[in-house]
Amino acid sequence: MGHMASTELAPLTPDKMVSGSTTHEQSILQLADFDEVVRLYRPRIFRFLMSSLSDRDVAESLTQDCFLKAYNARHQFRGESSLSTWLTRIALNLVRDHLRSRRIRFWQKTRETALDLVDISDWIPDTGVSPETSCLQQEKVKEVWRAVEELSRQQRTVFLLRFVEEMELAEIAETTGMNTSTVKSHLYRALRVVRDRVGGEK
Amino acid sequence: MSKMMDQMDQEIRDVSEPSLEPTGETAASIGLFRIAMHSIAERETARPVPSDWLIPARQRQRRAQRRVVLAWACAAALCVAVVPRATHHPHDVSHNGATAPPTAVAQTEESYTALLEQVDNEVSAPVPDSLAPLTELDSWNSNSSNLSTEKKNVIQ
Repeated sequence: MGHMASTELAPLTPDKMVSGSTTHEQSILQLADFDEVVRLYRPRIFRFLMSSLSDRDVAESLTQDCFLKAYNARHQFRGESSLSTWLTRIALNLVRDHLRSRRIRFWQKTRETALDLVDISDWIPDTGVSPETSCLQQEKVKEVWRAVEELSRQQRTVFLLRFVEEMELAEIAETTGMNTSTVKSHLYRALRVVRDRVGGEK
Repeated sequence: MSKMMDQMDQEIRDVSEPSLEPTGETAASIGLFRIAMHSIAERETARPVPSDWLIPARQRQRRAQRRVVLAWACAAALCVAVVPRATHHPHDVSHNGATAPPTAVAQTEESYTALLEQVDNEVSAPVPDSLAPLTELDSWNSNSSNLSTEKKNVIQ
């Protein structure tokens, strides 16, 4: 399970499967020690929720909700999917519910703890590059973040699962309940928006 | 517009998975974005999970459950209040004159008028002699007394 919160720039090849090394039996056994599950998967679930909702406090609350739901439903987990897929699916449902309720409570003040562009671009580890390069890197991160904010909810989910969580297309399909061609379609459109923003290649 | 979308869908069907991978500048930017997201998440979740970490989630869950129960209770109370009125409405009308419609009130007034007229007619109808009013009896008494005095006078 050495897939958690890797900060190295992983190549975007599809063989970087997070759950590939875990068998179903291992997942079920792992679920028995729930504290360990929380310790292992909390950063990943928090990261997905934070990037989906752009709000640290909401992401923390929903991470708690996600693990509570998982704990309550742990006997229903049959190991048909990996534990990370199962937890991400719960998190995704929580995102949907939260966005729906936020639309209803539109008058409520939100986003006070929202992750702004400065926050996110400041979090590139210092790798000893020159200040100019560091500035350029921060600008690139901001551009990607702006592009992600422009995406539709489904495009954003697929993009984040693919390029932040490094999930396979099939696993994204399983997590989101879409078929693979729909996932491809959303990913294609999301990439187009990001390419246009970043000003890269066609 | 739909033609464009169809064309785009066809393009997507035609593209192979590797073409869904960014390259060059885009790949580098997305990579930096991923690094930043991972760093923030690592920092935010670096503290060990306290034992009461899930308590707020439990409280939220209980509140949500209470809200659902309350909503169902309100709905049930509303049904109890509204449904019997709706089902018993015609029955109440037949027994309650105050809530009768205007046409029914008019019909009742007409029937009262007809009844009063009927009573008037019957009261004012000529009565047989045997049922003549008692006022005539006084006159008859006075007549008869006059006659008896005349008879007495004649005898005397």
